[in-house]
Amino acid sequence: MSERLFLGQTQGRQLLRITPPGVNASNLTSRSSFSSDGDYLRVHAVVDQQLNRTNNYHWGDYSFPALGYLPMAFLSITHTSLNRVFYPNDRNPATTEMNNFWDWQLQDGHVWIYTTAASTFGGNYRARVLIFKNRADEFIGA
Amino acid sequence: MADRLYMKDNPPRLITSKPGYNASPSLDYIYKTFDSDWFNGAGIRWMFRVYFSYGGVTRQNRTVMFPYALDHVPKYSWFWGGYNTNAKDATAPFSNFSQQPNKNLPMFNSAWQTAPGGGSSQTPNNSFRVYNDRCEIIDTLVAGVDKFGTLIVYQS
Repeated sequence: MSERLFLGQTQGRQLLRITPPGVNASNLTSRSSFSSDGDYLRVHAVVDQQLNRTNNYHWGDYSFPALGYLPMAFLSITHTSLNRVFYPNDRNPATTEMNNFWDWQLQDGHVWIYTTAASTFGGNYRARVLIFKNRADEFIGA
Repeated sequence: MADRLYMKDNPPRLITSKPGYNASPSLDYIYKTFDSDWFNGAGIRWMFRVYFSYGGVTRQNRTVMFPYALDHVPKYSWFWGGYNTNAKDATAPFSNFSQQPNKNLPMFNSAWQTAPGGGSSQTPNNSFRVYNDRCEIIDTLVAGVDKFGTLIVYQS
């Protein structure tokens, strides 16, 4: 019988940890379904907008409530008439509707999304940005 | 008043629920905010920023060692880009941005067309493998300039 819930101190750490069947929760090297030590992606704001279109260049910039630090975010782009997610994994010519020249950047409180070359397919694109409360600068350098 | 915390049974199980719904194993998923039987929880164990310096014609293979070995091969996310120390101009032609990035502050972005094993001249990963104690990125295309990517290792 495995110990699937651990609450207390182990290896110098105070934590609550819950594990799947067959896995001991006090073993920090094991899988866990919950750990109070862990970080989670917490959604802060969502941008869901049709981008502006000028001579088949696509662009937009949008504000969201500032956090006081640089947050993490995920971007996806869809063609409005096809409703398929293109960015980040699709490319032209494998998908002719896709523009190969998307660029984007995010700072605290504002995000910019744009193409640096004109699209040949025409039509409009929609951008969705999931902005998390997680800091972008909390990482292990490697 | 709903009982929004359920923690009992042997083996134990922790369930939390949305306001107005009693936490219980039979509660529909959409009303649960957490259930410890969801084995693929997305708790983050580590986040790495993996840096590739320009190597000329030399491959820049990288092995990222985890702080300690796990007893399983973890789930992960990988993308090129991530935390940048300085922003750049937002330079799309024909655009009229309401404001420009502050180039004195950091910015976050990610590159695209970058599925592991795909790669391009800008994203030179041909092979990407994660083990219980490390991540190996094999560069077969040679990084043209300094590059970095972000690796998120999850708790499951």
